[in-house]
This record gives sequence, C-alpha cells and structure tokens, in this order.
Amino acid sequence: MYRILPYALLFVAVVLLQVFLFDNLLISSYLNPLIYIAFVLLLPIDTPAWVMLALGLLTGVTMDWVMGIAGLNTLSTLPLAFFRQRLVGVFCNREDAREGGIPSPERFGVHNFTEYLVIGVATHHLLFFLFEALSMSFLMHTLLKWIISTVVSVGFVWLIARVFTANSSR
Amino acid sequence: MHKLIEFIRTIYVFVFFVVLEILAINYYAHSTHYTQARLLTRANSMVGGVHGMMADVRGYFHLRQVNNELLDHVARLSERLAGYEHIHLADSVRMGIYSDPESQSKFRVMHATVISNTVNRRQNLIVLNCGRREGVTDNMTLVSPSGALVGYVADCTDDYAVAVSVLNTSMKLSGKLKHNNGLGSITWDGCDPEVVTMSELSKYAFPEVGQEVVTAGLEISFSDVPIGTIESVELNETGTQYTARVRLAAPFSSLTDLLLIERVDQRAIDSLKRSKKIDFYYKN
Repeated sequence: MYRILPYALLFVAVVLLQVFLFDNLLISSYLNPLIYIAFVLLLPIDTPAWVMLALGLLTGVTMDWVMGIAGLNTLSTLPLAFFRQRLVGVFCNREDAREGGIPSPERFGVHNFTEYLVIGVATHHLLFFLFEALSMSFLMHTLLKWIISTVVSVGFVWLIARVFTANSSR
Repeated sequence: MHKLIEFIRTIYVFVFFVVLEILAINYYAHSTHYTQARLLTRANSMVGGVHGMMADVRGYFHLRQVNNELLDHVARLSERLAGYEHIHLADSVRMGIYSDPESQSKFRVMHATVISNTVNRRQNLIVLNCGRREGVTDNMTLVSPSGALVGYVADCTDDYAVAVSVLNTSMKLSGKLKHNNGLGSITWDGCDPEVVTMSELSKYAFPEVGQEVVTAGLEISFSDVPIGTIESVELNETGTQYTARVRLAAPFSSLTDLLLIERVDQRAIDSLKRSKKIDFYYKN
C-alpha cells in the first residue's frame, strides 16, 4: 500500500510522456517507441498475479483511449503483464522475489536488468507491430521497426527506471 | 470440492488473462479507422488543451515558413484574380459566378491548426484544433496550404476534429493522372510516409515519371486536388495494368496549418444519393 502514490505518479508520467512526447516524434516510420510499458515492468516484484493483470489492463486500455488505437495496446500489454512474474523469476531468485522491491539494476544486476528490459520490451513491441501490420507483405519493414523501436524504448525505460528507483529509495 | 476450489484458485488468473486477451483481439479486429477516430476525438476532450498549447509553441518556430507559404499563396491568388479581371464583359456575364459580387461561392473554406499528427503508425490520424462550434462537419476535405491532399474529417466534437490521413492503410482513394484522366487506386502500404501507391492504372493511361496525380473526386467531394507526382512506374506481369509510386505533395511530417474545404451543396447531393428513386435503381 505504501507504494501506491509513487506508482500512480509513474503511471501518469509515462502516459503523459508517451502521448505528448514520444507519439509526436515524427523522425521516421521505423521509430515508434512505446515507453508506457515502463509502468508494468517496474511494478514491485511481489505484486500478486491478478493485480499485475489488472494493472496491465488499465495501462493498455488507457493507452488505447489516448492514442486512438482500439485494442492494440491492450492486447500487447496483457501478455507482458501476465508473463512478467515468470520473467522476474528468471532473473531473480525465489527469496529475493518474496522480499519484493522494485526491479532495478541494483537488485537484478546491470546485465540481468538490461536483459529483463530487452525481453519485456521486445515481446510487447513484437506483438504490437505484428498485430498493427496484420500482414506478412512488409515483414522486413515490420521487423526493422520492431528492432529500432525496441532499442530506443529499452534506453528510455532504463532512464525512467533509474529516475524512479532513485526517487523511491530516497 | 476442496480440490476443485484449489484448481480454480490456481488457474483463475490464466483464465482471466485468456478472456481479456480474446476481448482485446476481438475489439481490435472489429475496429475501423472510424472507431479509432472516434476514440481519439473523445480523448481529445481531455488532452486536447495540452496538445493545443504544444501546437502553439511548435507553430511559433514555423512562423517564417508559414509566412512564406502564405505569401506564395497570396501571389498565386492575386495572379488568378488579375486573370479574371481581364475577362471580357460578355464572358463575365456568361460566367456569372465570377462577375456577380452577390454570387456565393460553391465552396466553404476554413483554416485549422494541427494539434497532433503521426506518420509512424499504419493508421495515422490528424487531430485539429476546431470542431462543430467552428463549423467543421464530417467528410470535409483536408488540404495543405499549398493545396495538396492531406485527408478528410472522420469525426468531430464541439472543439476538436479528427481526420483520417492519406497515410492510413485503411484509406482507399481514387486518383487520376492530371494530363489524361487515367484512373487508379491510391493506397498507402504503411512503409514510407512520403510515398503512396497508385495501382490498377490502365496500360492505356501511359503513366510516366514526373506526371502529376490528382484526386478523381469519387470518395472525397473534390476532384483535381493534387496528391503528388509519379516517382516510378511498373507494368504488371500480364502487361495490362501499371502500378506507380507517387511522391506525396503534402509534407506530412511537418504539418502545422491546414485548410478544410466543403462543398456548400454537398448535403443536397448526399440526400439526393439517398433518395428513394436512386435507391430503387441500386436495388434493381
């Protein structure tokens, strides 16, 4: 319960960043970073599975509404929310997971945390771009967009994680 | 019983996940660009104000470019006006619409500022800072200050309007070659935000690189609105149709101000199309 306020602020911050900054980056059709999933990826390690799913649903529906994309954010965020606990289990031993806390480079180790972000972001982005394309005609374009956007998103989610964990540990 | 409850306890999150995922996929699969435009219009009732402020700031940095475009536009209009002024009196009586100061224009043109625009999605939509209160209606045609096609209004609230961009894979548009009226279908493949594809172009249209492509006026209210110029042409395997890559005339990555155009008599035309007599011929 004690973490509700910081996470509410994180949610608002990532939604605003996505809508007012990242959605307005008209640099290239290959670049579409979706950084709002930082909220799901940075939820406490000991979050119950049903809460993860409910918060994933909230994130997806909110983003669908503000981005004007009917269902696409929800269908790509829900699997991330569902499999997040298993993903944490890969990079964090059972005792650490039971202790809880925010996923961070300090808790996972820099290498493990980066891998955790890459797998989480890449899974979400792959579902997002494949369902967005709904066609194999421009597979190379979709794959390139997936790779570039994943790299950029991981970088920004990493930065958000640094700022969030620094503020939370203060 | 206890085992059953235990079993449900272990799988309820999974069941919950599967149900929600199916619902989301179903909602996405049945959504059209109209659904998306409607969602975005409603969302803009809340976030539109901030978008508007940011558009104001962005607009400030484009003032010089906008000013130059306006000057060019004024120059072109002055040139045309001078042409009309030289029309012989007899001609001007015949072409009453130009000479009669009381005559009303058949078109209503208004200005709108872009407050949000994307080019990196497959279903790109443009949010405008004006809505029903300013006189925006559905299906108004959207053109850039230089007169190039940008899209059409799909939905609007009192204060905001959302337009479907030409850069939307759901948009189907008829285009024609300006020099010989050769018809073709204009679509965007979702890759390059500066290029669309013109397909089903008859081999007798003889398309060539550099030729101008304009709207045919079938889906939108206006014909002869510039879309772009042909960049490359390819004949299909059977040798019956051409497919051309068309470089768009409107700068979609840097749209700030746009013009909305409507035919004043469009509603009369629409109601005529829906009349019972016309319906009879469609059904038979």
